[in-house]
Amino acid sequence: MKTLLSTLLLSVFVIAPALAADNASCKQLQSVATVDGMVCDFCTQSITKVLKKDAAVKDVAVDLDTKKVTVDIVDGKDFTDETLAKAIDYAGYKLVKIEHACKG
Amino acid sequence: MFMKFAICFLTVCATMVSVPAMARPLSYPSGWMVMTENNGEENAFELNYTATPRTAFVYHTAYQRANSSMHHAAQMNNLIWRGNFPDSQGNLYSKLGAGVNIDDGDTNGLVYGGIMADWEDRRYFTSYGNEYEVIDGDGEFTQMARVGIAPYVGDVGDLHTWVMVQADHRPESDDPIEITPLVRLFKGEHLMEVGYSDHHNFLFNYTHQF
Repeated sequence: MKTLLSTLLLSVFVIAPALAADNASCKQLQSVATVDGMVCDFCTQSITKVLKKDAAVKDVAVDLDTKKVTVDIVDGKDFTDETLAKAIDYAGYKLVKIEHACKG
Repeated sequence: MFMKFAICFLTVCATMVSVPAMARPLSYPSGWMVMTENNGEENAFELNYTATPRTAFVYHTAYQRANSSMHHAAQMNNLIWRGNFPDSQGNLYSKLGAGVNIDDGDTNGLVYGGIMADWEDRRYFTSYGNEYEVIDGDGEFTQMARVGIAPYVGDVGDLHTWVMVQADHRPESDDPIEITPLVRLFKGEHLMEVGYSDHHNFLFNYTHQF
């Protein structure tokens, strides 16, 4: 019982504030998709233009070497992995995986 | 099942007869492309609107040099298959068009169809296209193939350069095979191709995607 109580207190007073502080220090939330099939600038244009139609997307960067599409998300807007997956598919490419990052 | 269909479709088209496939016939949903293609056969212009991930609608017009006739046609391009691989992409497209051919004041119906296939990575390119065209009951088959190599691999936004060789086959022509070495320059939304064939014809193609 004591252990459980200690764990709860630790979570509430130590871990949660630390996570909140970490999130607050994140200046730019990013979703990073690894995509197959991107071989040229027209592919880059297609993916960028489809993603930028979403109001939650601030900016898009494509790296053909790493096959990664990095999406900067507008502060306070909701941009789910499902939305990103649908957009990649709609642009005509194959999503391999999605990761999350924090810039700044 | 799909492979059987694809093989049958390719075989049927190949036995009928190919052509212009300088850039991909689809872009991205709600994207537009303007394309012009100029060679010894024709001066062509296309306005292309990609409506869905698999379908584009095209206005096609062309001036045929041999008989000074004009084509005006509505065309539909379909993506039949796309292979997205880690370092490359392959596509199989179909096209169908219908319109009019205006020749010396006479206006006749025009219908055509064909397939286009391509595979490329950032270093190598290969494509094939064919077309069977019927004007006033007379049919003609043409086909073309290309191979290309990029001397360097550029990053996004760089000027990309490709050295290519195009082979055109027009079975009904006196000299049915024409070989055209060409250079493709590609930057951002702009793609330009310049070449000169063994039939002493210049080639100039340009595509703008927006």
